[in-house]
Amino acid sequence: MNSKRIGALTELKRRLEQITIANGFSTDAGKNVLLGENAKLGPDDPETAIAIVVGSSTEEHLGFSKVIVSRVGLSLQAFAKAAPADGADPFLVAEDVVADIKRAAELEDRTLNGYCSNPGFSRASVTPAKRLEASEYVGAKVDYSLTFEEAWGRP
Amino acid sequence: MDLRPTFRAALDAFGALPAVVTLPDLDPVTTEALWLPPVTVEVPAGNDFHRMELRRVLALSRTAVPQVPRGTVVIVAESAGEDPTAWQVDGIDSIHYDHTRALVVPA
Repeated sequence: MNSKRIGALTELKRRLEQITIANGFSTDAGKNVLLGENAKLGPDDPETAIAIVVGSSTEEHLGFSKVIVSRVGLSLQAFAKAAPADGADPFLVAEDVVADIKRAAELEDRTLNGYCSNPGFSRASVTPAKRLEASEYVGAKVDYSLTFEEAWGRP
Repeated sequence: MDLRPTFRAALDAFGALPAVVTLPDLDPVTTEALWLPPVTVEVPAGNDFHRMELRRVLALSRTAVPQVPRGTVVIVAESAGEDPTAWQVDGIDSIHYDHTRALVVPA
C-alpha cells in the first residue's frame, strides 16, 4: 500500500506529464518529468524537462492524538530552449514554463487525489531563471508545499 | 618589461582560424580567430535540476576588430579542417589589451 506521500507525488507527476504542445500547452516539458532525481542532462538529452525535487518536511505532533501534520516542501524545476538563433525571447520562454507548470499542476483538486489535507497542495514561490550569456536555455522553478495528516506509524 | 604574450603569438602558436566578422549593420571584416578551451556550465542558474552546456569563448584581435558588440556574427570553423559555421556574440568574457574574448552561441 502506497504512503500518502507516494500517492500525492504520483498524481503530481501524472499532471505534469500532461504538459505537451499537443495538449494545448506552450512547451513539451511533460514528455520528460523526473521525480526524485537531480539529474544533470547534456546536449544529447531533450531540450525541455521538469524535475520534481522533494525537499525536507516539518512535522507537527498534535498533542497526544497520534496525528502528525507533515508539511513537505516541493520544487518543480524546469528548463526549455531559448536560443538566440531561434529568435526566442528568453523571458517569454521562462514565463511559458512557469505558466505550463501552474496550468498542469494547479487543478481544482488540491488534495492530489485525496492524499493531502487542508490546505493541501499550495504554491509558495515562483522564480524564473534568466538566461546566462552564451547559454541557449532558460528555466524556472515553482515551489509548493504539500500538507499531509498521518497517524503515528501509518504514512 | 612587458610579460604579456601577444595575441599574434597565440595565433601563430596555436593555429589561427580564418574568420569573417560582421558587426551589426556594418560590412564584414576578414581576420583570424582563436577558440579558447570551452567551459562546461550548469544551466539554468539557481536550479538544482540542470542541463550541462558548453560556454564557448572566441578570441578576436582588437586591431582587426576594435569593437565586438552583442549580435556580431563570426563565420569560423569550430576546429581546423571543418567547414566554417556562423556564431553570434552573446556577451564578453574578458577584454585584453590586444584581443577580446567573446562568448558566442550558434547563430
